[in-house]
Amino acid sequence: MRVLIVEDEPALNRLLEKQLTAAHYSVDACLNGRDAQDYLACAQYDAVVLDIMLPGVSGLELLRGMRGRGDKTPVLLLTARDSIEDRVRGLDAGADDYLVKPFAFDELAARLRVLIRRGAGGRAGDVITVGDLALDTAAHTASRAGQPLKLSNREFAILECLASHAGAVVSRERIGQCVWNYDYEGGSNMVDVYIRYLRRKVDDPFEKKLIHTVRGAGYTLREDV
Amino acid sequence: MKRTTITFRVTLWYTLLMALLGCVALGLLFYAGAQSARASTRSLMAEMAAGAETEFRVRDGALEVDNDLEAFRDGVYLSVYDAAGVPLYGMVPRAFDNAAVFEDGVLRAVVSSGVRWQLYDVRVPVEGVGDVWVRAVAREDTADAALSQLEKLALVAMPAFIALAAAGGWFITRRAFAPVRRIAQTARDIGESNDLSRRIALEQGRDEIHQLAAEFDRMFERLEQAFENEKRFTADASHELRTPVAVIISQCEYALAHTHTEQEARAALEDVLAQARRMAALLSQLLLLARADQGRQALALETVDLSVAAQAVAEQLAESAARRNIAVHTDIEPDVCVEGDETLLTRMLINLVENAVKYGREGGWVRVTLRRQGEAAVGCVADNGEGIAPEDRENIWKRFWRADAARSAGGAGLGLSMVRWIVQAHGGDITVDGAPGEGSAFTFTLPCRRKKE
Repeated sequence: MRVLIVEDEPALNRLLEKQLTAAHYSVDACLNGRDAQDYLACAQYDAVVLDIMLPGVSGLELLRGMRGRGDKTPVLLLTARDSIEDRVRGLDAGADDYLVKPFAFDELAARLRVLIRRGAGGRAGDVITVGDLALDTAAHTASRAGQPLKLSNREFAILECLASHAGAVVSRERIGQCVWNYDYEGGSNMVDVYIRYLRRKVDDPFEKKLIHTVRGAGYTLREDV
Repeated sequence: MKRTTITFRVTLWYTLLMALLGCVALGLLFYAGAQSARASTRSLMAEMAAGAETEFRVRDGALEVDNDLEAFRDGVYLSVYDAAGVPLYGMVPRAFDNAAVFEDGVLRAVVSSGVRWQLYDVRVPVEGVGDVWVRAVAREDTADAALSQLEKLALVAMPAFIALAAAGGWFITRRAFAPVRRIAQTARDIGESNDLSRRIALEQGRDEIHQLAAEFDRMFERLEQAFENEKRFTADASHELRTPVAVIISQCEYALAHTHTEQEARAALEDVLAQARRMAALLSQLLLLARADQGRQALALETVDLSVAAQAVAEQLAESAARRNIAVHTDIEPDVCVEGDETLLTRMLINLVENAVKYGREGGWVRVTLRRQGEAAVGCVADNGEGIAPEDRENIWKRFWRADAARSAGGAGLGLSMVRWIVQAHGGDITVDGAPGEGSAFTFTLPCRRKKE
């Protein structure tokens, strides 16, 4: 899952980037609203962690701009102020959730998971199931027909990307954006090779195939053909 | 002191030290010399005074002094008086007023005619005559006279020696620091003229300063190389980026002016999109390499099954190879695992196989092999294509380098630089073999386990 961090305090920015990377997100981080607009224009994110107080374009302006364009990416607002009025303004501007600084990272991670699964069509919990495939997005484990699958971090990220859009066709670019941040351009061959890795582990040992190629469009994860 | 040169400081220090040392040494020498000379005068005085007794004789109730009694020896004057102080024998120096009262057995100093004298009296009771006084007198500076000659000589010689030491020290230090001045001058010249081709070029020498200069020269060499690379890299990168931008601009201009149907507009847009993607790919490759240069590209370490990766990459690229009628063979030992960054290692394999397919012979083959050799994974990607000229063996790793400048269609020439960086970042090594016309073989070695840093 790919997350954008917009936070002008460099220390907190770096810390969030490190912690979210460690939590297996692919992370882009920027320090001001203008850069954030560029990042948002170039890639699709699964969630945005947005500070309200930003130099230049403020967090609320950025948020209103996103929603005005019809961008429904889940946004978690970070605010230093604890007044009801501020929170209401943030939520009215289109934020999906907010967190008052200082906050515990575990809470931020949990709230992000909630936002991401809501954004992915309202799953009930951290576990996504497609047929007999189960992905625990909190524990970062996967199993099929009760047997645990040993997936690398990137493999899990791609499977999670496909699973959270189960049934729909996901383009190679979307998969690439889901897994690699800007520092790590994959390219379409890279996605195809990774799908081969995944098929070996997810599909080859089982009779029923879940990963399907949609010629000229991308890949889809679904139970029935 | 902080603003003066080391040469000056060293010379000053040695000069002061020399002067101090000389003064102290001479002073001690003179003092000790004078002391011992005075002591010997004093003991001579006592000896002569005490010895006088043996030369006394009484004849007819009067004292007679034997002529053997020495009245003068080594600057000491001896004289004999009766109890009333009437001189009986001997002499005193002319300048000595002899006014001092007798004191028995006391050595003392008196001043007479502006000169300090040592005085020593002994009372000798002589039977039948009464007390007789023996007085020994000597100039206090009798002993110093010889020394003062030396002193005068030293006062002239010392400054001369010190001046000589200072001049010698100055000369030697200055000579020793000449290379340092040359280093400073060269650095200044480079700073002012921006001409990195300048060198200090000291003659061979084994001392520290020559080593330093040689090290500086090597650093200038590397700097020049780095600047050269940087310049070429910037030029190449802007060229590579300009091409797709030019296509995008002309496509847009054409589309705005001439497309009438949606289909035409679509075709133009697709072309623009393809060029933009090319730019995006190039930019992220450049970013990755830039981060790698700064040592900021962290590896996401996992256990990577290289066998699976090589197989998957070979299968994936077999499709595009088939379009050029190239067969992709694999000979891969299963379960060869290394600790590394999965994405980067996959990227390395993709780049190598893509490269082999691109420069392979139409209708030829590409072979991917992988073996475990001890504690290392050894892989090879070979083709029977056009190969690489021996003089280009090093160039192929350079950014934007292409064997044939005209073959600009495929890639920007960053693929192999990336391959080499990835292999090296994993603590491995990669070499290339093959001759022109016989194809080429890239062999990489990756340690299975990372060395502890």
